[in-house]
Amino acid sequence: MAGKPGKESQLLSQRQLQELSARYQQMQSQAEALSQQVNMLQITIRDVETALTTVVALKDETAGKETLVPIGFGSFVNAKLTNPDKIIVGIGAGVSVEKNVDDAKSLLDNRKEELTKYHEKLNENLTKFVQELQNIQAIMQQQAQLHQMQQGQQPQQPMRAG
Amino acid sequence: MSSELPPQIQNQIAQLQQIQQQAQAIAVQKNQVEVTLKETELAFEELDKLDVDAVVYRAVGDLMIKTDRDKTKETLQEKKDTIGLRLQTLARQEERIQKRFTQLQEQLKQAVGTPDVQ
Repeated sequence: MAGKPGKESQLLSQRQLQELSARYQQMQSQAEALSQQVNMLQITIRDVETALTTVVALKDETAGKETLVPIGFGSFVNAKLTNPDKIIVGIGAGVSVEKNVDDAKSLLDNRKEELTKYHEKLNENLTKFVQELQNIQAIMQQQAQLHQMQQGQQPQQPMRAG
Repeated sequence: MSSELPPQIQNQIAQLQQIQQQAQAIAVQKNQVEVTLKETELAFEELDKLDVDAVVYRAVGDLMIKTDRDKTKETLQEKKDTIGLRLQTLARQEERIQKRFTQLQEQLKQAVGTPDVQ
């Protein structure tokens, strides 16, 4: 069953077909989970990019600059920059660390790179899954055709009145 | 195939399914705990790279409270230990439930009498 769908022309047994169908369903749900993960990663990557843009933009600002701090739902409070040269970066487990702009930038850059690599890897996996799903689909279609043909050869086909 | 199964075997199948669900629930939990442990370890490593007088904040709900590196390292070490223990417990549970599953599966196979039925 591992071969190409095109050259295999014998009928699979009922059991083999069931196995194939079960495999298809399993792979489909795996592919869905994978696709969700890919989307989440995409969002995270965009989040890192936002942080990076802000860090870079703040680099040239001086202390005392007026700014607005988001409090959610498109709303803001007024604030003044006190330490534009210090960035506080989350390192996971509820811990954040104060870094200077260059260190913060390189940390975020690294994070972005890692995430992008992972994203690519997952995307590759997803493509493989989709290909395999298509393969199985092709086999199943071919089986359906074979089945029909075999039934057509049998004399039990109803005669059609002219 | 469609013949009625004896109640005893139906019962065993139900038990097997229940155990399978339990095993899945534990696997999910274990996975979550593993992720948390990994995250804590990474944060700990990151702290290790800092100077002793680095400014560190700990999230308390929505607030960030200023602390220092060593205090945070201590907290994270404790957290690592606790999570590690929890992971061990879950691993043991998983093993136990796996054994129970195999055992029941064997019983069921024997009861059904056909060794190659899955």
